[in-house]
Amino acid sequence: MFSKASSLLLGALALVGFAQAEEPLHVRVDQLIEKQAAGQPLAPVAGDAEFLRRVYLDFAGDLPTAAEARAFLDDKAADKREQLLTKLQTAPRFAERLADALNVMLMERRGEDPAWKKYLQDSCKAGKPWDVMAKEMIAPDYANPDLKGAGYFTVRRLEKVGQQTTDYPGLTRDAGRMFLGVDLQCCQCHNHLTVKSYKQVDFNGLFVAFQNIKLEGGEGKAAKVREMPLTAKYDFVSVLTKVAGQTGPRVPFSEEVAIPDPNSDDFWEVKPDPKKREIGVAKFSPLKEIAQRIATKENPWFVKNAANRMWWLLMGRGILEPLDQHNNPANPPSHPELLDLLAQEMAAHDLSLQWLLKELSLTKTYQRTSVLPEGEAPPEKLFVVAKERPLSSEQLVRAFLRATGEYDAAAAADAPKGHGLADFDKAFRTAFANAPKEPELTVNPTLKSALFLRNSDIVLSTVKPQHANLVERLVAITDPKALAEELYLSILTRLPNAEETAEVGAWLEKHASDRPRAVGHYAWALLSSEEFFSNH
Amino acid sequence: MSNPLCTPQDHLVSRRRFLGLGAGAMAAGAFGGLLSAKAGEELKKKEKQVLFVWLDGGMSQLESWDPKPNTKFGGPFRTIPTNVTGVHLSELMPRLAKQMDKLCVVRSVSTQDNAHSSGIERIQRGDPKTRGVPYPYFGSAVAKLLGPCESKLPPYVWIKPGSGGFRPEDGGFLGPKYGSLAFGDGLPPDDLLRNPALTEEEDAERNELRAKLNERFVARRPTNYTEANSHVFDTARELMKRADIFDQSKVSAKDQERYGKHDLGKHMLCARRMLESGVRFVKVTSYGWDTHGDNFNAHASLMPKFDQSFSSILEDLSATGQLDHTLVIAMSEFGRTPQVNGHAGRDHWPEAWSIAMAGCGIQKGAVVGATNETGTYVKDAGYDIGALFHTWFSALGIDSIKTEYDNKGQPLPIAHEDMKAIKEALA
Amino acid sequence: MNALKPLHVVPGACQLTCARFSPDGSIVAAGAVDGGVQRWKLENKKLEPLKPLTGHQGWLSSLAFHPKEPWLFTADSWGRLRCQTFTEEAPPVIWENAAAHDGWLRQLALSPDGTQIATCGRDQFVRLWTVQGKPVAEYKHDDDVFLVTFSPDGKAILFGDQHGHISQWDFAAKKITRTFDVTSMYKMDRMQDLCGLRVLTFSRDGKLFLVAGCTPNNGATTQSVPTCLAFDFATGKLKHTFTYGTPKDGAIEDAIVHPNGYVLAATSGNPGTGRVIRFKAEEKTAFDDTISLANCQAVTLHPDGQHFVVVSTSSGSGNGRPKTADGSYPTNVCPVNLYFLPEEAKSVEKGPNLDAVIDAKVPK
Repeated sequence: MFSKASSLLLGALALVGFAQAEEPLHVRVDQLIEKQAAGQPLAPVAGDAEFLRRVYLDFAGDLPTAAEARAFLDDKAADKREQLLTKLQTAPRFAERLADALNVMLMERRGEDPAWKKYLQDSCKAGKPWDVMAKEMIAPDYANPDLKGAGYFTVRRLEKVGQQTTDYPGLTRDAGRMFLGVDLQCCQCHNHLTVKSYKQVDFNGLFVAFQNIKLEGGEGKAAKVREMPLTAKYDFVSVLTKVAGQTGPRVPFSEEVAIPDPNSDDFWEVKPDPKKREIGVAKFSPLKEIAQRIATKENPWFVKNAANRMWWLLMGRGILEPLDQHNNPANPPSHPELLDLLAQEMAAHDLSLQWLLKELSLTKTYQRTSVLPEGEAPPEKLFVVAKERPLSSEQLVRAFLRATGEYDAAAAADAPKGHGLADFDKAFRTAFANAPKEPELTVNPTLKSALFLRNSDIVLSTVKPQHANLVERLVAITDPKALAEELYLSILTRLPNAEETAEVGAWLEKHASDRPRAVGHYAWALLSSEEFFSNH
Repeated sequence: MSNPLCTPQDHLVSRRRFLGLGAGAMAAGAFGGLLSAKAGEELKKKEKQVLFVWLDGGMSQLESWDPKPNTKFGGPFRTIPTNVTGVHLSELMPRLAKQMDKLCVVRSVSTQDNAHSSGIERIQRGDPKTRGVPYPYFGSAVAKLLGPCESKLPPYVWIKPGSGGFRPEDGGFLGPKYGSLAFGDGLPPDDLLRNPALTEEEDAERNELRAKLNERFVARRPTNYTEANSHVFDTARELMKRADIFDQSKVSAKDQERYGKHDLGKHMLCARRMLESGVRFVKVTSYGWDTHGDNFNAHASLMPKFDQSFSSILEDLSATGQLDHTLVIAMSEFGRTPQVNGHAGRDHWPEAWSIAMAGCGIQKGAVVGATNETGTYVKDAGYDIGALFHTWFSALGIDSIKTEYDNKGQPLPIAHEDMKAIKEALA
Repeated sequence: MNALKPLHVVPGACQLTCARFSPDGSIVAAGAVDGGVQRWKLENKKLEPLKPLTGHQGWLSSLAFHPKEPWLFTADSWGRLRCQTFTEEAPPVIWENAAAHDGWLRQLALSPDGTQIATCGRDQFVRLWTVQGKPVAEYKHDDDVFLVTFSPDGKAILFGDQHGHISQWDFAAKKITRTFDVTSMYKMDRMQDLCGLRVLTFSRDGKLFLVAGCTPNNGATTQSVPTCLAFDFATGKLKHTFTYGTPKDGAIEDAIVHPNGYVLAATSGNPGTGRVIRFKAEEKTAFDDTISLANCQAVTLHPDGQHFVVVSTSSGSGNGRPKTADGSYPTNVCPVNLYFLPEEAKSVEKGPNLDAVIDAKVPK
């Protein structure tokens, strides 16, 4: 179904797979990274504390408590890292964390929806293959209560939100970006000017399927989409060359799907009735046709995009950058062989996102320290040093509540008004999430987030001594060194060095007249520090 | 580069380069994205400011700047003479009639879109040729091209009824940092004021501690995120220091009376204080100008409030000399239909409408262009919004032809390249 | 009940603001947005056009016939008040005052005895004149005055303002003697004052004081519920509240009390919405709302109690944008619809036609 070039590529992928089938994937990943490092020194594997903090944030979206941290640091077992990874990756939180990450990636902060969230969480918990999920999102089954939440991907993009109009081109663009890793936006009006392999027909072949759906509404809010009968190809003209083109439903870089003859009796599921103004229902569903052709192991861009995005999630940078510019010969991946390998292995493992993430977490590449070597910083694209990644608002709110010892109080059914988990979620999302429709590839510090940290009641409330939270626990510790350790372990998941311990002691001494406030301020300074805000 | 280009990776305009400046933040490197940094430096010295009054919906040109009394679509109102011989305005703007010598009214505005959903965006972004990337709103453009004033206050502030907050979308491809900082009901953004639970001293001391912790952490880390992060914290501190300018209780009763106690009056007064304090671009929005029904009683109610508040700020900016370096614009997204519909309303009419300007670089006491006798269409070609953008940039001393945005290597014109400034509107 | 069919419809040449039958029922006069007064003669169940009267500016905003003399009083939005005869081809002007008000003269009303005229306007003045045009008294209010009428005894003037306050002005004593609160018919929407007052009138026995118009909901594409409040005029207490339909139904734009006691009203609402409704002020629902006409602006009743005329608006007038096929850009027009109520024949009492005297309507 794909062009010759793509088929050849798939063939090549298979060969790579056979040649090195004996080694586990994570070993082969490190080999390929090391091979390409070409003399650049590889950063050492991170220490226990850095590792601990990183895997908690990545696989639980949370921090360990001080006690958990201490236990891990004190553990002498040789395989304690593997044990911890297994513990985190088999816990229910892993599915929730992955669902959070997919939500941010796929919806780009367009809004929150309970049914969508539940769909993502259930799918991640069930370990649903990515092709199955993608099909469910592209051509949603609104009749199935377990799957209709997947329709939010489409419905939300077509809703009129404020000044935003029904945005079919935007939906088309995002389907390409999210599922194939190609941003075809420019191709709505003309062949791409800088990416020669992106043609106008590539955009419009998807567009013809998406522009053919209409929102149908529940109360005040559109609940689902309905697909109209498609009886003719779509005409387009290049605004640059004035050359006209025509296409039926077509997945980029592949062959067009033929539209059945609308005059044949076999075309209609329900025939149109002009008297009742019923437009009828066709058997042919362009949306299902393209969903099947996008979300399949046989589509190399579908698989590579997924592999690259999972890599990005753990490494902070894609093997291909930008994430949505696959199939551009002028912009090859930094490690083409590696991307092919990941794609091939992922395809061989049921297109499981979790499987790939687990394998990647075992690599040295993932486990390296983020401390830069002396001298000039090595290029990021070599992956010889771990990249610092800012926390998403979802990771941040949990980390914040865990560190301050406020999580249980906020999650309790009788949480004080305005201080429940949902309140914290909302406040942190408002302060730290990117603007809607901005790909959240990094989190920008904003004036809003700075003011929120400095002055908001909800932040300040967490560093007041109360219900056995961190500050209350610390105030009860008389030995400054012990206090400093508990403080640093709770917030930064590491022990303070001597200098840091001394600083805590000096601060407490200086502010001895009001010890609870002094401890609160110190905790606040650590919580607003960059170390806390990064997954390093 | 006359072909339109698109950058599929437009969103990558990084966020790395702009990282940290964040919505509403002020930019040390405000000229980083301009092709000519020198031009930027020149512009910065002049401390030019903008007041942009946005009447959301559409003010009827026939009940305001371009009355057609005693014609078939003219409506019930009379006209009154102004202090510029030969120029008449609707009787609904008696105070502005006395300020006509400061104003320039373009009566032949002719734009493309009659729908709100797309019209607001197209107008406020200057409706350039489609580039596949969203253009910045005028306020974001000015924030980019001129940066913040010496005051270091955020360069693009929006005073509006209802909720406030940060609106990064305004920035378009320039990035979220050029978005607007909205003061809902004239109130400052959430958490602007120091939390009452903290003394000034405590607040300062714990921030010093925070800065010290950061310094140590970043010693062997990449610097971009760090700089950005400390920058927004510094900005927050500057803004917190100036919290007094957002204190409505410091406004004199006399001024409140002069500007009017309605939303537009209060917000226009707030705008004056922001301009005085050194905000580069202040947008004031008034909602409810979409008079599809009962248009004439609606304008009888709305226009006096506009007349009162807009003439007051013109008087005040003029009295202090600030008007000389402040570009003032009052406009809607389109005009209203000459035809009166069945429920005595007027609908959307981009075909022929009016925009008023004053101040910095603008011709005084001028009427530019005209509509036909019944006000249905413009005489001659009329001016699209792109021409107005050229005019405004020119009035601010920005060469609207030579200056280009640098969208990550892609040069983009700052205003529609097939249009140019309206000479008669410029001083 | 089947909808009544019109006897005759005049297609209309202009948008109209108000309409009245002459006291003898022979002529219908209507005010137009071109400042003209259109006239028709009622002959053979048809409305035969007469030459329009000219000489006003802006909008012709209000008109009333004298109950006995052959005089037609007209007012416009530029403040002119005029008295002229109305049967001739080119009727002479008897007197006029080009500046009776500064700007929009919103309404005029004649005293029950036919000796005085009351006027009100956007200039916040209420003025009393002799029917010869001589000023008698004036009252400076602090708000735009939309409506004016005389009390049944002719000794006071009642006027309603933009914010929904009705004041009773005893012009001989030069003071406001009482007020009626109809602020439920006012709303501030964002910055816009929404005034729901359209008609002030009395029941035939003078006991009920009726305020008709709407309860406003929002501006923009206006939404409001047609409303009629009935006050006990002796006590000043609100006795009955009548509403019709939904916020899409707009406002009672004009209303007349029929000699048989009920109210004949015309409504205009969302694009294309409009009804002729008949209701009793003391009841909750209309007993007849079968006539559906787009955006009614005025209604007037023949002294026989059977013929009546409704001014509506051309269909397709919902949006002012459309151009015709040839690209021209026409004005909307107001068709004039003549109806006949057969069942009222015997019940109408013979007597003076109060209709022409006490009801007058304010244009939009």
